[in-house]
Amino acid sequence: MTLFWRIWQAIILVDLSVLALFVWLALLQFAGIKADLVGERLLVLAEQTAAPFKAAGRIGLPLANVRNANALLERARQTDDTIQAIHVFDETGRILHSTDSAHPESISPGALKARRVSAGESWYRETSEGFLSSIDIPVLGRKAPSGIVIVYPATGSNIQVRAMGAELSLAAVAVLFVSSVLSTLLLGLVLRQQVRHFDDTEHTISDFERSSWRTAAGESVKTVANGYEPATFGQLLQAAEERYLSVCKSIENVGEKP
Amino acid sequence: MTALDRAIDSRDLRGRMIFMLAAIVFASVVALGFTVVAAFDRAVEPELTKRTRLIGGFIRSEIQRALDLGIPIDAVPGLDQYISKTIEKFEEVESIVVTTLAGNEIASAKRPVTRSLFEMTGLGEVIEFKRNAFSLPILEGNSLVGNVEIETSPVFVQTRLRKVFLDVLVLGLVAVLIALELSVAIAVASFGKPLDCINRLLSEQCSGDYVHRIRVAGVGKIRQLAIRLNDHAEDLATRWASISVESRARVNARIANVRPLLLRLSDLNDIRLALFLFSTATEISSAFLPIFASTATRPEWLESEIAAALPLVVYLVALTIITPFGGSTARWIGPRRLFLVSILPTVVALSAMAMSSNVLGITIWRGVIAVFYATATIACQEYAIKAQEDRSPRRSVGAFVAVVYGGVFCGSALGGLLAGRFGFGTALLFGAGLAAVSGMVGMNSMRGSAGDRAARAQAEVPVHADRGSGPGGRLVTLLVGIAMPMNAATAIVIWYLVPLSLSAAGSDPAEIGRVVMLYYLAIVAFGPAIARLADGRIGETALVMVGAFGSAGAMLSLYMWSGLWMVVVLASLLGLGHTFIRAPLYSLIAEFGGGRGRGIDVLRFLERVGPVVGLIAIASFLGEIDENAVAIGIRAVGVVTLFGALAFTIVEVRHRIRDI
Repeated sequence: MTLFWRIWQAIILVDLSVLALFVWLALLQFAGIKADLVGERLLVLAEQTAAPFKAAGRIGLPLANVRNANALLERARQTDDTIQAIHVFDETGRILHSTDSAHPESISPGALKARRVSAGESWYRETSEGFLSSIDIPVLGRKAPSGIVIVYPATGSNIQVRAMGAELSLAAVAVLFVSSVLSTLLLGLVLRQQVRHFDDTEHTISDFERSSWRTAAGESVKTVANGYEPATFGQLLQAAEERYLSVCKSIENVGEKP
Repeated sequence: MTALDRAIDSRDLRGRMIFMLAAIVFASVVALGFTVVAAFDRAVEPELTKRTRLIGGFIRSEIQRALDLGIPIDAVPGLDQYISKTIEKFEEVESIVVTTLAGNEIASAKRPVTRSLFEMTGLGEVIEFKRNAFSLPILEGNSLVGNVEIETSPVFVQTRLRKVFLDVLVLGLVAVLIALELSVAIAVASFGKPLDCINRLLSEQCSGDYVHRIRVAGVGKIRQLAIRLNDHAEDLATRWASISVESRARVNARIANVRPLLLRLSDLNDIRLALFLFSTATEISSAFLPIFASTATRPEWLESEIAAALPLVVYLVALTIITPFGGSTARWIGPRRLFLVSILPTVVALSAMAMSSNVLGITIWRGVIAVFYATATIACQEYAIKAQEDRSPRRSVGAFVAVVYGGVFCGSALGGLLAGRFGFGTALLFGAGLAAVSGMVGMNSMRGSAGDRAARAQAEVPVHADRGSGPGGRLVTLLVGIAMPMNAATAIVIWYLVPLSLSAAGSDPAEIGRVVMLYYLAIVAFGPAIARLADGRIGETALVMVGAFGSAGAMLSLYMWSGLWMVVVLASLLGLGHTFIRAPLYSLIAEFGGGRGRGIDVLRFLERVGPVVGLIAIASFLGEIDENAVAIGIRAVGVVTLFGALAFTIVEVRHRIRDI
């Protein structure tokens, strides 16, 4: 059965690798789906919230002068309690209006870089600051557009990904257990003949070993008849042993005679 | 029949093993797939609810703005257009309907209902996925005048998981082949080969020959028995040393003067795992090489289509140049040493290719890979032929081809998957790692005497007794009419046109890898069955004709298909057609050529000349790769294949008539 278990281990190892890769790919996809769902929703919210600011920008009114700006932003923030802050900023990144009373002077360097890369398109991405989602607000007479950014905590999403990882890993372990049982049964059927051949060989060797030490202890020797070609593996072992003993004896004899 | 044959080498056993492995791997993947979909569905539900409410809220506020201006609910202008635009942005929304209080539909936008994978497979009856529906009231003043109804698609998660499922499916196929090769390697190392060595040593010792010992290997009692038999030979050698030279003449046995020599048996299975891993490693870029090259930086004068074909052309040219010398080099320095010598440059070339960002670098390193791919594979083939010297070469070459194509299949599938997820560089570095592992496996497994350099006398004897005679008409037609178009079709259609056309149609490397893989899957899946047919009554020439006309038909019937499915069907049919040709090709060449060597050498040369010429011609004349250019290119190869098949048929029919 040693051969059987060795092959079984290899198959389970391969199965485990496939399941582990599946869990890993699924987690990557889950993180992607989560990010897309949140990002797209925040973009819709940003678009809707930016409408009055865009109207002001179209006629060249500085965004800092938009009336009730903080109230407009606060109404948008209340659509989802998880939203950390919504900032409206000018072309340099300086924050003009925010739902956060203790907001920083300007948007983070990460957000500025993401704006540069997006080249005017709406964007969302995860940064060290959290999950950011932003669109541009063009202002008449200004070379570069201003913008609005929604800051969303990334912690919740990370916890969800880790929880998903734990759930899928547990499921993978359960699947692996069931498939181990299944492979034991199927492998037993497929390798039946080979395992029997292996076991027969092992039994023959065991029988030979037993007969060998019993002979050494004085039991009568069962010899392979002279002139008889050993046909089975057991007979071959016996014949080889007899030949070895006879050669040993022969060397002993010629060694004794000067 | 050796113990190895009895233990692990029957075709039936391989078939049963593949079936069993596929059943286990796919059952595991399907079971985990259910869990993943259900868990994802549950996890994204809160976010989907938030999104749907947000969308509903916006639509309602737009309608209410119109109502505030005094427009009646059933006369809001552009409402249909507005909600159609909204539904386009959110793929999880299946329908948005605005109704009056009486339930009359004012405006609606609906996506065509798609059946999920679970519904298509009948599993939708067992598992039901949630369908979220929301209804938001529309107010005019203080009275309710209508509703906005939004419904989300229950198959949203499944559509987003499609790519993961396909990737895992490919991984599953690769895993089945890896598990098969591992199982064979374990059976050989633990039981088959140690038992063969024991049987050989036992036979020698029974006849009084004690000059050999064997490597102690295997498991359990077999290992103990090896130790015992080795001890017999070593003990007798010690006793032998203690008696005088005159006395030795009176002992009726051959005994080693010093330590008995190590008996090194060779077997076809010695090369299997190493060759499989090496083929996987070197063909890791087969699914994305033209795209990798066409997107790399290049001199201004070099057109993108030529740049895409350049590494392939250099690869084939390098193979063409090296192949004729491969066999003699293997015999000169020994197959084992040649294989091991090829590993380090392959690892370096794959790593350097991963870091290359311009066409020149990619082309040079691909050329280096080609050189050492040729030397390593020829070394393995020489080893296999030498290990099976007393048997039909068809068996060793058949097994060799099966292992190489198994490796190429895994390489194209894994390469596409890795490149799609992590980039071309990562895929190539993975290939470099795999090549290093194949070297370690080969160092351990190719220890048999077939891995040694040929003895001087043997090396000097011409291997091909019929080298002086010119090739017959049948051989020339087979090589030029069948083998050359087949290899040209592989290089031009599968390696060049398929990746470029799919890339132009927006497919990512993983999808291209899955399609290219289908070509090799046909060879891996149907190869053994077709080899059995070749052994049977149908005959080898008939199979070659079926394959040649079949692949020509597949290429010429392009007008029946279009888009991705055309490429999928074409890759599969071409793979199947070529399997009919590859299985009997070797023995037909040996038969028509009248010996082992000449036909193979000519075939190896012609195999590469056809694709090189074809690729250069196609890349130069087709210009920009669009659907039309691809169709023209494939049909051109189809016409050449058809004429080749016709010529072969005519020559064979004339030969039969003459025989009658």
